[in-house]
Amino acid sequence: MAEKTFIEKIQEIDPKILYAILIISLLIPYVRPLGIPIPIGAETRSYWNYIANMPEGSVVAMQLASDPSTIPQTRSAHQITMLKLFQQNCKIVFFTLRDDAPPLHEEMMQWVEAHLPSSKKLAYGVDYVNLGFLADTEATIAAIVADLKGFVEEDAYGNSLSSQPMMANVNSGEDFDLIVWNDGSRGIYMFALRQWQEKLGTPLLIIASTINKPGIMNYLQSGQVAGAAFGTEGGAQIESISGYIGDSTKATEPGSLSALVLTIVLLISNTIYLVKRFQTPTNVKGGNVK
Amino acid sequence: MSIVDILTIIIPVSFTIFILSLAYDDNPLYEIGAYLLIGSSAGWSAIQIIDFLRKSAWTPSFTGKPLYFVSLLLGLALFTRYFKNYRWLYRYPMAVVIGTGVGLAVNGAIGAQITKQISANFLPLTTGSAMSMFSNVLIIVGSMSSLTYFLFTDRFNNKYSQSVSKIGRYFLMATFGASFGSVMTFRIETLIGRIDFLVLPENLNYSIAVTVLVLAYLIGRNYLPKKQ
Repeated sequence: MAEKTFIEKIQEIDPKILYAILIISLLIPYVRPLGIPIPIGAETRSYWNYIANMPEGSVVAMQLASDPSTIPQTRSAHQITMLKLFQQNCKIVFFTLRDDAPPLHEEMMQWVEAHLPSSKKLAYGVDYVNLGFLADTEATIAAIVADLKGFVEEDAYGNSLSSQPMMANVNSGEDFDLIVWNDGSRGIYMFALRQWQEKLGTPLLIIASTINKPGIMNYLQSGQVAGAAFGTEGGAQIESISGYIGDSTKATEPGSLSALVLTIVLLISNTIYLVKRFQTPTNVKGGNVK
Repeated sequence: MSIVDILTIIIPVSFTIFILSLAYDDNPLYEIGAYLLIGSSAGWSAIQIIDFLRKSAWTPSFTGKPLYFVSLLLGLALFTRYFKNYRWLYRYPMAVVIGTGVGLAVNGAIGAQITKQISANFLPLTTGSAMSMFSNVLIIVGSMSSLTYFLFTDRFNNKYSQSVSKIGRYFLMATFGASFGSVMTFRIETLIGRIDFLVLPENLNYSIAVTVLVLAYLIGRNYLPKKQ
């Protein structure tokens, strides 16, 4: 039996070895941080400028659709946004379109309360209201835009929405000055874009996993989305601008190193594919014959 | 540290490692993790959805908005598909769901996804920095040529349109590459999220202990006699 060539050996490599290399590359920065700088992207810069310039008393809608698997990528941007808006005395109406997101919201509220100056205490119903989980359909957003109080009569804790002081002048989508949409990895930012931003012109900021970045970039370029923070990278950029360095900054180095490993693997596999393609005689246009 | 604190750490740590053990091999620990995730997610979702129904349909039906009861009846009619004689009834709520869904989506999409996207392609080619002019040219050429790739009628099938559509095909391939890169980054970031959790100072010792035990089990399993 002929001895296997180098290319054949590479092709038959056990995937477990690749997984092990990937895990090791992920763990290296935890043991020895590499100090890779984090440049600020244009979309994150516009996102932050929008938040930082919100006037006092503005009413903001914050939607959270991250789940436990995607929240590590979006938590930093989301909770720092909450903190910054509260520091600027904005009023926030929270809701989620994911049934597993309400506990994540409560966790982030605890972080925000712990990071506010001791002189500032948040009052429920005055500074913020939490509507909790609402059905994840486009009709839900259309209903909020048309008649919020008619659609949601109770908040997440069973209180009447009309009895909350900050809701006195908030009746429909028109009464909001900004939408901050945490999409997780769901791709439901279209609901806000089609039913809210398009109809009323309310500025829309998006926090999303990197999986949605190519889709959202079209709307950033057209100006329909005013700013965005994508994945761990966007979170780390927000941490860097705001000065609240945390998990996202820590996660960028493992991300960069593992992306490098994957790029090398892709380059090797594509080179092998090309070498085999040129080695194999071809007699059919567009295909190889062995 | 109380037993509750230890369990609060050891349960998520163990199940994270159980799920990651699939990278080594399909095994019962992975299956336990996956089934428990599906079961607990379904239970949690059921509770949240029931609460949403109570808030948005049941309570209003009995507090001056009787029309909301119709939505509950329509929702119940969805379950008639499990009964042979009454299966036809589920078509009505489905018609409402599809009708409103499509109506709302199309209504918003014309402006947000069609006209605004077209007008966003009217970009200045002679003003701004050299980089922005180059980007604008790239956007316009990319959009136009990609669109020609989807012209299938015979009238447009000549050598000029074919060369433009070939350029479009390269732009489309670059887009697929960018999407693939985003998906890869997303998966890696999801994994980093869990690794981050496992290496938290308070979790690290438990993570190492559970990983060693799981690895010992997975390797030892290979040496056990297999069932015929």
